[in-house]
Amino acid sequence: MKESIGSLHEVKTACPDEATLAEYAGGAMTQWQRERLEEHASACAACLENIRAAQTAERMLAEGALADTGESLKNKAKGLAKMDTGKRRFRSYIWLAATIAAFTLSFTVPKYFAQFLAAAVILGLKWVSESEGIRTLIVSMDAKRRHEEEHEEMPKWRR
Amino acid sequence: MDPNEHPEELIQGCIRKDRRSWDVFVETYSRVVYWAIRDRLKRYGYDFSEEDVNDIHQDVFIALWASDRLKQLREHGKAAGWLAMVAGNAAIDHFRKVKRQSPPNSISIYEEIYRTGDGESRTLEEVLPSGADRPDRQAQLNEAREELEAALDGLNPKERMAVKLNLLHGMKHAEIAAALKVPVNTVSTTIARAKKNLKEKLEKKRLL
Ligand SMILES: [Zn+2]
Repeated sequence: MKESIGSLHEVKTACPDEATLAEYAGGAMTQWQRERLEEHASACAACLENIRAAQTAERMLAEGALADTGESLKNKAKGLAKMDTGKRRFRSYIWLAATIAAFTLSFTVPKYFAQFLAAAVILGLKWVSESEGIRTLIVSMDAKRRHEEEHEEMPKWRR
Repeated sequence: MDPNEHPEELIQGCIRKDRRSWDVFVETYSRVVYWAIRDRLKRYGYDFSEEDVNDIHQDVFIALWASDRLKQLREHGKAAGWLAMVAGNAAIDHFRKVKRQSPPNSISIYEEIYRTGDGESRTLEEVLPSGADRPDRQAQLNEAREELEAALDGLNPKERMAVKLNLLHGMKHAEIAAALKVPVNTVSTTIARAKKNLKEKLEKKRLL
């Protein structure tokens, strides 16, 4: 049995996902669809709890009644966009190529040996920091994937 | 950009992986996600820390950004409600799957079934005559829930939803009316009738 919040008479049909419940809330459904959903939700505490949460959140946000979260929490979430793997990997290759070029030049142009070597070190550091970022992102995505695989046996709407 | 006026644009921007849209999205909806996580964990009686809430918050935003979860949302005008559901369910999943903890309590609010002289509303559980330590407490609660189901007999699904959202989930009449898209006085009439019916049943069974 799913969570037995309140009722002893829980339904056994699969729960609609959050997007379907949001459509119900928005009224974007045919009468037939609405009735099917109501038949399920009227005997499903999990769906009723979702409906309550959605309605309350909409109201509280509109009223400005939800407290803003801390900057560090928001920045962490915003930071996800900075770790876009594709673009990052490309940029890291550019830094790597520039590092190699500067290093090679330092030997082929002895006159500017020190300058090119210094440039190679700086570009190399750029490359390392860029690839570190990628590594962190890949590790966190892997953790996420493992986490989601564990969810395989969960009903579809839960994932 | 006011996200409340243009949720469509904002969400499409995030799906296109536009960073400025994402910043606005996080700025607007972080509080919804945060609230919904805490709300759900409290409602299910979990013992949770601020760190748990922060972890789940980040997990939800990872799913939205990296796993393209936003593409599932079709009703863009209800983005906040959708996010609250996604975050609430993610919170339960986190405890059930990652921390391997089932909800300690089942929810049973039975709000405002009974009012004391000073106008305070009590939950049915608080009003039931025995102490929480009585061995047949659970049986007694189950019986009360059976009576509620019996009191809902003859109601259509929408009416049942209205009564349960009020008695079990503690929603106010106006909110139920908004959620179910029915006039508030219809909701009030349905709930009043069901409550009267339930009270009679509970008294007959000597549960109240
Ligand atoms: Zn359900």
